[in-house]
Amino acid sequence: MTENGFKVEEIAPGHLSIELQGEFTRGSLGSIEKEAASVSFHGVERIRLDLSRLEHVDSAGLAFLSLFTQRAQSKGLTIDAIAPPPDIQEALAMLALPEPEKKGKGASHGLLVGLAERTIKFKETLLLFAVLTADTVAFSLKSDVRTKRVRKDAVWMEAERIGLGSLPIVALISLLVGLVVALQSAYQLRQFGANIYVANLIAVSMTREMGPLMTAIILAGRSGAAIAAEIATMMVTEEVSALKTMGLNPVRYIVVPKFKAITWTMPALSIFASFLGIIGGFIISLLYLELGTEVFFNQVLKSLIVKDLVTGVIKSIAFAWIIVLISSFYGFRAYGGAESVGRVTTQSVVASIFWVIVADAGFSLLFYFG
Amino acid sequence: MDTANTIPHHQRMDIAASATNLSVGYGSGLILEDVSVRIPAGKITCVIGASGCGKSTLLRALVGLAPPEAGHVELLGSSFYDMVENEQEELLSHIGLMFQDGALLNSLSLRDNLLTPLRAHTSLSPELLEEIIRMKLDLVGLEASSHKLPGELSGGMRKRAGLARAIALDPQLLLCDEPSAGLDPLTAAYLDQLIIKMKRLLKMTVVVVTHELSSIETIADWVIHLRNGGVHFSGPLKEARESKDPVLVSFFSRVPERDNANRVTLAESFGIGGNP
Repeated sequence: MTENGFKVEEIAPGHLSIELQGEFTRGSLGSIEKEAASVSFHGVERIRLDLSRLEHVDSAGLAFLSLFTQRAQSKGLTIDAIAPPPDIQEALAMLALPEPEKKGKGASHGLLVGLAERTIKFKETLLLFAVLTADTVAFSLKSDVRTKRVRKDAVWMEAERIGLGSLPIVALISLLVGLVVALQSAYQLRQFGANIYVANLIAVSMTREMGPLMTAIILAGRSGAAIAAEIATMMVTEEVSALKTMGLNPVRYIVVPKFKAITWTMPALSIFASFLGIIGGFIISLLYLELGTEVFFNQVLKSLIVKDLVTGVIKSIAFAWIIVLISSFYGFRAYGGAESVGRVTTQSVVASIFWVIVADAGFSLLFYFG
Repeated sequence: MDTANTIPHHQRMDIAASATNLSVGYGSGLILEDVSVRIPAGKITCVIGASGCGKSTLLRALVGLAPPEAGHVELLGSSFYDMVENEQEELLSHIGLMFQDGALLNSLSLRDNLLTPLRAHTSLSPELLEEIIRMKLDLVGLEASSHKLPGELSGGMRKRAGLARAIALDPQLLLCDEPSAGLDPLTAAYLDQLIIKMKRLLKMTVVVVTHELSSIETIADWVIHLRNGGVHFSGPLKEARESKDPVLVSFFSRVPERDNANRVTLAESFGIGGNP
């Protein structure tokens, strides 16, 4: 076997002879690559490239030859080659050099151009979200005979999935939140002998704030993620396209039943959560503060006004719409493959929780001053 | 079927679908540029061309899945993109699209997949609907799998189920995206015969995007050859087969053609040519 090598010799002023011999493979290229990189083309006009003693070339060897040739050509050098053995010559004929005009394509734009592009994209995103919201609301008010025939019990089915399915986890978390809030407030109020006000605090905070908010966060994680993943999967498997070609509007078919279902299951869940939170507070009052059952519930009823309940229900409906619209919107943005499903699902959960909390802050301000 | 009389006069038309000066894609990334095609009624048209030349995009643009940047689409005598959404949905009930991978609704069984378009566009009795579904599934050899979910089927079966759903409403225009790709030769040949029968018996106009030469030779009446985002040839199969055009000759004789004139190989750059 010939020794692998890359021999460089100056045969005349400005005329190099490079002889390649042996195997040019991924295993043998290490030192050869360094040798080749150290060859200076300064003052060189012509290269005589002898490939006749090459024995074997794999993809790495071909890539080496390609890069070496590109480097030489970029300096304006002429290469005269002595042909390699037939199979290697055939391999060289398969491999194309990159087209010069393609170089530098996709170069990054300036900061301002990037900013402008992002602004335009954001505007388009907002517009698309507005269209989805308008379509969903309009289609919810005016049903269509085709979709109705196909998806007869869809709203009930979705209500069962979103509402009934979330009941155990909402119940458990609300009870625990009630226990914790009662315990923390009792710790402070005891110092002033104001134990009895634990009931007021729990009743107002659960109905106005914690009930709707905790339910919304649970649903954003549980049902919101499921909605986004379901729609995203339908997008990547072309089910959404198939619906369109069957003359069925995807928003009517997929989003509207979920929108209708969540609009009434969310307030119900939120009232249920508030009730269990109060029960949590009651357990602490009974065991830790020694308040009687009658005293506690009298205090709860005294502290609650209709506005508290209405506030909670309004908030929970708004949160429900935020969750279903944002999750659906992200779901419809999926394209490509499985990676995209995961990405939009994560984005939808993060965005839903963020906007639920922003809306909650807005409502708190509105109802505090209102 | 209760929507059948809402589409006017198209049975008498010579052209079932047409696209005029159609451009699809975005800005400099146009996939189809200034494409004009006419799909003759009652015939099987094969859209052929190399991978990535825009065949599937043309199909999608015809039915509203890839709205064009510019141009005009006429389907069964109606200007598709000038219609309101409800009219488009109505028109689509007369058109069947068979997707490359079936695009079945994964949460529904095969039976329910076929039931979806039937329920949406007809008010037939449940017994009749069941019988139609049985017949269509039998036609594609899937009657025994009617209660299976798409995930439980092989790729070829999903494809056939996709065809059954596309023909559920006896469409006047059937569009198939690579119906025989990935199928065993016998099933592919069976599908070819099925497409020919549907054209003849149901007077369907069929558009088939395909690469399969044997399939083209068997079913095509008309051929549209797309190349580099434009129409390179449109005419009867016989004319395409007899054409001296090097691109068509290369396609039909299965001799690979590299269409990149600027391509310089390493061997050429060494001045040693390709053939040792």
